[in-house]
Amino acid sequence: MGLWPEKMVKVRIYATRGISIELTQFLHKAGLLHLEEVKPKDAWEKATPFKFFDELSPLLLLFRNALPKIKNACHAREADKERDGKSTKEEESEEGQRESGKLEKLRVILEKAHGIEQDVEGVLSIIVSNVEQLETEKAAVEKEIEELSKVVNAGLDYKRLPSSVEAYVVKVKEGARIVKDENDGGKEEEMKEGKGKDGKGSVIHLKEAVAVEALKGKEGKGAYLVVFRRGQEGQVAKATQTSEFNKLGELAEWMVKLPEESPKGLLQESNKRLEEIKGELDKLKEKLKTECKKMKDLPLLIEQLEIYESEALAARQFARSSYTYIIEGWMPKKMLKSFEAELKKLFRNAVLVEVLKESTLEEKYEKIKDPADIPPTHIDDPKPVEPFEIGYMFSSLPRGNELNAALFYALTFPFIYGMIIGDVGYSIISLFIASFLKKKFPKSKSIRQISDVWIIASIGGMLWGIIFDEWLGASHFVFLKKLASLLSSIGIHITGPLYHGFHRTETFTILLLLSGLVGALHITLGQLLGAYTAFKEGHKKHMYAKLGWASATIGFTLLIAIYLGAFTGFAASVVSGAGWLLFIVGAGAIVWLEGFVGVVELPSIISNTASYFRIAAVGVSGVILAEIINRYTMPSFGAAGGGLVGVVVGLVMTAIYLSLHSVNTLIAMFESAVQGGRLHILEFAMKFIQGGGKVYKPFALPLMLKKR
Amino acid sequence: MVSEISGISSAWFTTPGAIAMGAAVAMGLSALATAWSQASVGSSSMGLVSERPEMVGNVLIWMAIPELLAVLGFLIAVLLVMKV
Repeated sequence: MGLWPEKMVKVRIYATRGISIELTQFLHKAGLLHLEEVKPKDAWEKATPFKFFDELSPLLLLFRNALPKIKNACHAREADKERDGKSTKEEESEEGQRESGKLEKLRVILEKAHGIEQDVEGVLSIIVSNVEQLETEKAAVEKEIEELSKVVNAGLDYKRLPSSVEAYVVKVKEGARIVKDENDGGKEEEMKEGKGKDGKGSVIHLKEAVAVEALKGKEGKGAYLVVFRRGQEGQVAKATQTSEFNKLGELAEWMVKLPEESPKGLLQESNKRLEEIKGELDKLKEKLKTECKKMKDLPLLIEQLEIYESEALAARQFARSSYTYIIEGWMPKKMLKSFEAELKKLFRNAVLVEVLKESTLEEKYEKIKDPADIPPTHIDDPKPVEPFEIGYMFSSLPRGNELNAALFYALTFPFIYGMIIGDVGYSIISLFIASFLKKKFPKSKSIRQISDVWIIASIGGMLWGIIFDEWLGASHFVFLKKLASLLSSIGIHITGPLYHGFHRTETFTILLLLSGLVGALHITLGQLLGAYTAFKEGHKKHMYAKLGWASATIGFTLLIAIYLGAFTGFAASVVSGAGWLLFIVGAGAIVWLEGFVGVVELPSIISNTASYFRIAAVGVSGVILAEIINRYTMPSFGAAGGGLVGVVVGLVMTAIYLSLHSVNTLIAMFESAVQGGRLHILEFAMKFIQGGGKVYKPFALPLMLKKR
Repeated sequence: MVSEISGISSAWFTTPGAIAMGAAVAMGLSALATAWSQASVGSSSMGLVSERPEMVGNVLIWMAIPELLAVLGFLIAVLLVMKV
């Protein structure tokens, strides 16, 4: 059991220069060593990436840049499917083929890469210089056709416009009109935005803009306008920048500049060009198809090269002298012996392992000056506890000498989560929702973890649901009554409830006190674990202070219990005495050891415990919602005198009833997880975890990391 | 004391209407206070998450902290309604 993070050792490996690459490959494959940078000293200098990196890097650069374009052009979805379909076993065997200690495999891969290099460049040139250019041209021609079609289909007589003018064809929105203009019988009209003469549509003032002529389209729907200025094209350009012209744009459905040449002729030419482009593109795509077949192995090749790339780059963390390479890193202590044995077997006396440091619980982390000397935290939890490591995502990873909080989360979270959700029906629905989420998002680690937490914690919810007698917000007797006729047909007669639960809305005060008690016990457990950690670290003062807090919290809880009349007679006097004693001793220890800060923080016993009242409050709010759903949507098959109508109404009611309860379950799941998580992290774990641990990231193959 | 100053009979404070008003005030004000504090925590958190998406976990917990106010308000409201 991982009560504490794994013990780690920092090792230094000396290897002759001749085997440096093979050794790095072995370390990569072993996936154990969390590499640390070796500081150059005396005859040691900083190592540089292995030489094969110079050959490999430009290839990878080319392939990585080309891959997205090739994937896009070669419909890589199919290639991806092919790749995804490859079993893990196949991948493992591929990796197994990478014989450690030999670079022949790299040579083969590099030759393959060089072979494909020309093809990749060829495909890229087809894609970039031809396909992409043609696609861009095609889009431009299509846009041109679209605009020209509008102009042609407007059915206006453009011939009567002087050839020297710059003009715009505008389709005005329904209801909008333009009244004008200086050429209109020479009569100058003052035009403003507002109602037209006939009181219909908007009128726009085009004072700056030149001449406006309204022409009616063939279809007679809407107004097509040609805006132009005779001669003086420069002024037209100026006029088009005026706000009035822009307003015309707002009123228009579309506005297209009239080409100088005949629109009809241009449209015909564009259509012809489009056909040509499509033909050229089809030919190129056919050619690309054959080339794409050669690119099938490119993603795998990149992956293989990336493995060698990371091995080459790992050398940057090493140091070297004239004859040796020096590698340093952390690894789990329990693996050291087999690691050394394997090294001996593979490299005989060419490698020497020296243990530099061992992580201990007494380690004073704050005094470690070199970050490379801080042991990384490696937690190896049993499978059912693993999902609860998600707690570290919400807070901080414990240091190597702090307790593994996930283990305690696994014990207490289902209890508190279950107490909040506290409904058998909701717990069953949450089980289904969590299983669905896990199946739906198999690649997301965090969703998988939280779903597992929900699945495990739903057991707690079911148990508390039985205690509270809550089955979708109602007593079990409600459902038994509904099934009474069915049950009596098999000889079971229901006369009353099977048991009397502790229904939360009816016994709210007791639930509140129970929440407080759970809180006091949870906090005390946190304080005791904190004392234990301090004891292991050798911080006696901290240990006594933590014990003081635990004692004061228990004492305070006992005194509250006495005040509420939980004990009577002799027991009351004994408990009261014990309560006062524990509280006074605890508070005294806090004040003595923590001074003024301790005095100020003493009331936090109340606030910390009160924080657990949320168990009752959030739980009851869920029950109230469930009761409202039950009141209005409880299915009944006897509506409208029964019969077919009654059955249909009953089925609809059941669907609504279950949907609403499912929504309420979702809210309850989220709230219970967030509130339960908050209590665990802030009220509980912070009592014994300082956090700030270094993540253990071993130098390992990507597939191994994925498996982790 | 309050009844002396306001001239309202002390019996009024135990009427269902007064209790309901008290519960509404307890719940409403605490919810407003939670909303107010969560608004500032939330906006700062979103800023942090946009810069460092890996902090989303920590942020969720900090977002839940002001909820204690609403929880306590709810408790008082329930206790009032149940005339505890």
